Amino acid sequence: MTGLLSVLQYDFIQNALIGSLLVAIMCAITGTFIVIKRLVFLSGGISHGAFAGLGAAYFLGITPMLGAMLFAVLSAVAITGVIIRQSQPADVTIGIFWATGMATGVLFVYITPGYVPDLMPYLFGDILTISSQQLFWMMVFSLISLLITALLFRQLLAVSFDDEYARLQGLPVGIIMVILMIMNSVAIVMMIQAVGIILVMALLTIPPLIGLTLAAEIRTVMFYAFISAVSITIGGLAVSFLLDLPSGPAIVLLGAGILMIVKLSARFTQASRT
Amino acid sequence: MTDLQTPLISVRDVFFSYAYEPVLKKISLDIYDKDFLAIIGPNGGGKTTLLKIILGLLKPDSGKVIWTENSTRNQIGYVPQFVTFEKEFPLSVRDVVLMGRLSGSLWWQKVSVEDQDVTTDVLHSLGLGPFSDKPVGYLSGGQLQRVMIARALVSDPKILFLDEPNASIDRDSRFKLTNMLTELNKSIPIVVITHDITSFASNVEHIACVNQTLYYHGDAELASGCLDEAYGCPVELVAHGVPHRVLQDHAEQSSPSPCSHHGSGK
Repeated sequence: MTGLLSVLQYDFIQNALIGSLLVAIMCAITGTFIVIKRLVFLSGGISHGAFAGLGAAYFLGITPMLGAMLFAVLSAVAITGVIIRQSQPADVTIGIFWATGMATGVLFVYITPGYVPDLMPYLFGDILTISSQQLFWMMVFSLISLLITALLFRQLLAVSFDDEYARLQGLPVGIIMVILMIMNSVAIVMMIQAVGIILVMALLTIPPLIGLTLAAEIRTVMFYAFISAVSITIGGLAVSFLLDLPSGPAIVLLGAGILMIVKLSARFTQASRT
Repeated sequence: MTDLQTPLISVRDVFFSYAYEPVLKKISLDIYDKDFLAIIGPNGGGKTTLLKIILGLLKPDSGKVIWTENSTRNQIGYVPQFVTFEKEFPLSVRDVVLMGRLSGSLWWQKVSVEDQDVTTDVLHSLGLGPFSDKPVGYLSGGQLQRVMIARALVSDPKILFLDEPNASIDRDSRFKLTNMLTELNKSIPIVVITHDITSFASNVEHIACVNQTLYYHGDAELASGCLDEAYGCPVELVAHGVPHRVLQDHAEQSSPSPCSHHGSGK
């Protein structure tokens, strides 16, 4: 335990902890909307679209996260656009973006001259490598997302519940959807840092699902989602440190374990009540 | 009589198809102020599609829908047949009904005291008071339908559209709904898609029978005697012998038909 506490003095550990908190905020607010509006698969498409941006950033020699952010937002808007126009089934569109994004990323990395970077941290995450500069941007993005969610809370909820009725009320449903998808993209890129592209889905789904299991009112759901996201990321980090495991998988597996316990106990208490 | 008025909504030569499947062909009809229009027709005949085109939720392939008063256009009450959402959707009945009070603004909208009061009143008048704090995913079909009606009513609509409002509610609620619509119809026009024309028999002013094309559109008064008396009658009258699965059954049950002025509304 003292070993665990003594590491707190290191900057990279502090960064990782603050980063976990920020990721948890994004999990709670955007993740909850993603789960109740059933946009999880779409989010998978966005995270793999972001990989194309990572590759392109390597090739051009710019900050990888910047490229990821740009491509995540672009693919989010593009996928949402195709889905709204209903020219083909949503899952087909998402599947195409998913694979094309991944392929583009790999190709960019392949044609980048010289040193071939290690892709593992981007695929499976390494929350311990968050720099202070990244942390600053994560803070900015989390604050903006929190502010937008607070301002548009009822509108976001109305569109998530029944977009047709929202349109009838005169709400700009397309714009609200795009705002939600951009917040989602930002959240995904932040989560890539923590758990990597492949495992992003876990952070988007597990904490909100725990929240939905424990509560029936959206703000309470988000609160529980936040608490569980914090426990999962920081707990996972501790587990990875103690057992010398990679942090991404440790975070995800801890989350899956907690979710299972919460679901089982919810079922148990329900059964004992009836 | 009412035809001399300017219509509130004019549907003109509307065509619509899903992919290559034509759904509506050359539909024209008018909706007047304080009208009570019943849209009837077989399943898959395009009733809901027509309604969504009138509401502006779907764009017709050709033709147009003209709303003569923008104030009405901006305050529509709509009760859809289905709303699909996650069973675990984290909203209470009250929250869902409160959504009906939202305006189109893309800015922070506070829930006012008036919003709360109106919502409480409507919830109670629809017998939803005891459920108001329940999660919306745990209601029965009939209760959910009443929630959708409540959501439409709290916006103080200038016109009300209901898609199969009788589909999943019991007889008692059906009676209450009819009374409520009668009351509302004193001040606003109402458009109802229904299979069950008899529940609204005393209210209906105009009937439109839609099965891809518009088979009949006109005064229900001409048929009012029949509407009161027999189930099959208005269908015989309205549908002009178009195969009509659901109501044909009724016609068979209630034969011989007491209605004698077939096609007189043409």
